[in-house]
Amino acid sequence: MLYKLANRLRPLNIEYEIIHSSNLSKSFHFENNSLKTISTNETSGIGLRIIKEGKIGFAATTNLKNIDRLINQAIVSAKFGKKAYIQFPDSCKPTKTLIFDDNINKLTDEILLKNCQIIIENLKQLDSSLKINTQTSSGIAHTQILNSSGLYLKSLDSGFSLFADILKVDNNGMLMLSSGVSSASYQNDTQKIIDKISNLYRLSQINITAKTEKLPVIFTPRAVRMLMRMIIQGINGKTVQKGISPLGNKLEKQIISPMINLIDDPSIDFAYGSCQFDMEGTEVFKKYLVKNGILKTHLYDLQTANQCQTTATGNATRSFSSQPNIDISNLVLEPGDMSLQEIYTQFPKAIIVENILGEGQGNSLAGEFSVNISLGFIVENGQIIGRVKDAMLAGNIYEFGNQIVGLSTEQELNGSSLLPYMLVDNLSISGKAK
Amino acid sequence: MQKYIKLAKQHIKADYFEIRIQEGLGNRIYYRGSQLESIGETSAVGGSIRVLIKGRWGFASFNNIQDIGRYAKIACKQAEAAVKITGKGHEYITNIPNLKDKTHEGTGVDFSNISIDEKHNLINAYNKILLSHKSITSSSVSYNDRCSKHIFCNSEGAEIETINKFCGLSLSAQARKANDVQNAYHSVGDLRGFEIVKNLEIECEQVCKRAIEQLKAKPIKADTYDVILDPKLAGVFIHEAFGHLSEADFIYENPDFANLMRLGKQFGSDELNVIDDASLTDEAGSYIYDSQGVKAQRTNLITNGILTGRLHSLETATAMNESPTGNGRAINYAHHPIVRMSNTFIDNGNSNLDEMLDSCNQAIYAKGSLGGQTNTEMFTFSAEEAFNITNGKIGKRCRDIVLTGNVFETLKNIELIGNDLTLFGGMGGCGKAGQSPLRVSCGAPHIKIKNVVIGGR
Repeated sequence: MLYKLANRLRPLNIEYEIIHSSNLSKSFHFENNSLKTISTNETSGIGLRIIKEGKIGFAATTNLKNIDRLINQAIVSAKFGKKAYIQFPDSCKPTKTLIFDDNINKLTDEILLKNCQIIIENLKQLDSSLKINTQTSSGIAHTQILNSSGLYLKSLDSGFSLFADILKVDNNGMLMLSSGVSSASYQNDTQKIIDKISNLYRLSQINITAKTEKLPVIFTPRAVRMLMRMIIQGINGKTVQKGISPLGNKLEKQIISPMINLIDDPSIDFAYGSCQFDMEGTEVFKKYLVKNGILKTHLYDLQTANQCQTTATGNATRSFSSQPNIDISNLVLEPGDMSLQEIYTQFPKAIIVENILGEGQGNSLAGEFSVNISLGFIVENGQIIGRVKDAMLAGNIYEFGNQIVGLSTEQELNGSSLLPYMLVDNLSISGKAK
Repeated sequence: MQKYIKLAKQHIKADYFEIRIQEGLGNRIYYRGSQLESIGETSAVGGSIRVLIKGRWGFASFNNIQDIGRYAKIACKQAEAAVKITGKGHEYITNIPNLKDKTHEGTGVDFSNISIDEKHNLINAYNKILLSHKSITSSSVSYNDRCSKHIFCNSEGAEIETINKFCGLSLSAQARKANDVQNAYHSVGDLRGFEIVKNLEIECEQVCKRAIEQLKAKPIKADTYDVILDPKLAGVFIHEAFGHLSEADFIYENPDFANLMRLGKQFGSDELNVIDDASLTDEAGSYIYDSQGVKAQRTNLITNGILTGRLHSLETATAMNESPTGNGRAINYAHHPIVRMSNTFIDNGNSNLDEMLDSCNQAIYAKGSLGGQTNTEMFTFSAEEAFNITNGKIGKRCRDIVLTGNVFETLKNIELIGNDLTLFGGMGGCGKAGQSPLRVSCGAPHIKIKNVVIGGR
């Protein structure tokens, strides 16, 4: 398929890059404690990026029968296209990071369904009226990149996920809890999911209305991700190139507490964000984004790197149907030196933030956040005394300064992030309690 | 396409099935700052088959239409596997549509006949206006059109062919002073055709002005406020805070939730009327048939403050023994139809903005929307711009307005409802269960709500 298209492109005297991906996945959905659907998804598509007379053109299709139209549309769009600052790479050494687990192919319907059933049976024991949803899926994806500079790359990666959530409705309102795993390898994490949701459920039995006040906040790894994603937005070379990143002129400067060591790591075996090369055939590698609070690098794809007179960092991501975007692979925040016990007991009163609602609605590029704490708890003297409701949390990550008290020694790997707990003092909480 | 459907039917043995095939062609033009980031066409063809056997669903989605027979078998095999492993299910459906029809959604000037030159020139001209202001440091203009043909058929003999034409554009400008960055945007998008993206020069100027003015705004202090919402923000509020709750898939298998949402329950003042209406002409959330072949309709969700209706797919309507409402929608062929909103709005009331202002000593006037989110009980939504109201007068600008609250409490706290209902479509859309963005519109007149928590520092 790829070569057939390349053969048609060769006489046209243009530079080209073909990306082809095909995915096969199977998923199982349990809703309200019972199996609803088994689904298969088998899709493939092709994206064609060309450089003609110094301009970039692009077209994509899932209709592999109609190559002529694809070529024609790419050429038409190149007429208007942006000026090309790129040359397609002629070589790339893929890393040896493990991204395919053969066990995925061996997973039977029985195994996948059993995992969901075990979760439901166990969680029902918390309260027989609970409505439990679980879903699991497994799949494989083939990706190929071929360009006119002579590069040909292919990768085969696998994926597995298992998620569960529960909903409890009573006079106090609703309680929704969720947990899950996603990875390139099959992991039997049913017990981990059951334990996580059961624990959150027990902690959520007493509701406490928040007051408007300043409090220390313990961000769980899930919530730390929201904070770190804002920094990633500013590190993205695209926002730098457009002059809208607050971190554009901050290379080698202190942008946050020296406790923060943030890493882009595509080399964690079987982590969800790992890869062996990026989606335009640039080599990928592990790198510090922020070291001791100092900004070490921005992230670039080929086009943006050349516009900014620097080199690509192996962070081009895309599906076949779009031109490259810039993003991190796996998000890693190095651990600190506080035990979880120390974090919980550092202050007489603190709020644990587990889930938030409203991410990205504020001016997140500027580091601002103002979010509803959709799942959070109040800790007093190291003891969790109940779930906090109707509360908002606001702040600016670039103004945290020495408000960051510490990070936990423990990290949690969750999909494409490996993050510790973070304790931040003196954040604004608003609530309705007098 | 007919031959593929015939082929699929030969391979299906099921109590019920749905076949959906979609062919589409879309164009995108995207400027960010002074540069054209992307221009190009995406074409797609694909389909899916959903079968129900002994109360269990099997589903297969694919691009390779030629192989449809094989996918039909896969879908059946999966439903049978589900029965084998977990026993017979309880799913069944009634009121299965059996209409044959050919329809067009979208009546305005057909963008397919407009050259890419003309489209590009228009977008480029808007972008130049945005960037002509000194304080505007970056802009983005994004244009999208897509024409798609949908074929639906089911085991009862329904055969519906729909051609849908959606076109939209969004403008945004970013103003900057030192480290302070403020955004403003404008978005249009619906089924009215190419006209809606033309003549937006004034809107470009207004977007710039709003972004620049917001630089003067002071961050709001976290507290509980009385707020007046403009029609756009009130529309997002009703979509997030109430619309999602009225989707019956949250309710139909959950007796506690069903009790919370029982018809006849008081939800607001007797002036409050909330409606979902997919049958309006050419709005962003309009359609003629949903993804299950059910005709679009108007559903009165809240009537004079009382809960009177909810939104259904065939599955949820059957389970609750209510009539389908034509809200079983799939974002595309590769997804299941699930219960979704269409055009959702608060109907006109008896008040107006002047009266609302007069009723306020200290309050916030919040306008425009930067998005919203709900977990069914709690919601958040953010305003694009906001003003302090003192003794009935609109005063200084404030910013970072994220409103939050409990859905049930907040609906009851709607004090006044205006008479200037406006619907807003746009390029964004609604997300649910991994299906995003689905084209919808929402709207309202101006409304006043008391005691809303606004976060801040």
